[in-house]
Amino acid sequence: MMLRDSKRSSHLFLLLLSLCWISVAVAKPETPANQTEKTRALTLAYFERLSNADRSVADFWDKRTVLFVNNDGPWGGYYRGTANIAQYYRDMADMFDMDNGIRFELLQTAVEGNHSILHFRVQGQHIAGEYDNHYIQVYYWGDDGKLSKIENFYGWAPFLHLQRQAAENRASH
Amino acid sequence: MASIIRMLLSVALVAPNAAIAEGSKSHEQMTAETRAVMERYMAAQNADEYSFKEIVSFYHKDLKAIYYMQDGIRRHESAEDYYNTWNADNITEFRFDLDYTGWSEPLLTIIDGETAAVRYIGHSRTVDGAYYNHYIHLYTVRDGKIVEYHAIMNPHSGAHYARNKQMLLDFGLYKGDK
Repeated sequence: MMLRDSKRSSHLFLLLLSLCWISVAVAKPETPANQTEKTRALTLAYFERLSNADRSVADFWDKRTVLFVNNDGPWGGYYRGTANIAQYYRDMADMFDMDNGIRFELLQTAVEGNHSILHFRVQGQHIAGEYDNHYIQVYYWGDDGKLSKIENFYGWAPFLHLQRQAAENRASH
Repeated sequence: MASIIRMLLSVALVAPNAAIAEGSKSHEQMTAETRAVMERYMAAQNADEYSFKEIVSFYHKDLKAIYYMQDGIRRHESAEDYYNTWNADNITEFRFDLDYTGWSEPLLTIIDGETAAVRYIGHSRTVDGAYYNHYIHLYTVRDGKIVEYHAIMNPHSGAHYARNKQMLLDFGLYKGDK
């Protein structure tokens, strides 16, 4: 009985040892290439949620996250922390007919290490008219899979065009 | 034990290989080539003896360049068109002080296959005073030449809500002074 138990224990030990061996053999060291692929996956997951106006996009932000918006308009500047960034996106969404949706088209992606960049086109119905614009966003990722910084660049000309249209509409009423 | 050896062998055989063949070049090869071109390009941009002609020599003759600017979109369909538009004699609209040597503050460069992204802050001077701007440029590099180029430029960034009251009023979005 003892011999059988001892054989069973040694089999179990060998099995566990083999599993450890396999997991060590399979585990990838955190090389720059692995980091790039991890960042690529995070970036595409982020875009998926952003482009679907999915509120869970906020899972990628925390109190340290800074959003920098580079434009010549009222929304240019820095937003710090989840609440302020969420408010920025609510303000943006308020300007669009979200029931009919806004369409995102991913045009270019570049990833290296823990940085990534997306170039995408956004089309939709703005409160002042048809909207069609290009965005380039830069992402700085932390080791915890959260964004430490987002830089949001978009063309300002479509907004000037819509502003002119809105002013004309107001003048004609 | 035999099954473990088979499993280990199969793991070794399908070991992750980041090289994604695109045509005859691997992703790593394309990244290395793009990096080499961009390093030379950035060195030319920051050279003491800056030459716009040399900068344009990095562009393919059929360069497709798109600038998303505050007053509209500018498209260039050739390196020659780009040169003719942006050489110092023709950019008087920006009122740059041509005696002043501008400088850039590099923030980030990302190279991935044929794509390169360059993020920097540019400092210069116009006849009206200091000029300061955030830049993001996206390049596509193929066979040693820059074939495509996208840039979003919005000078005077950091404007705030109240300053643009009229725009918010026009959009029906103004919520009172902050």
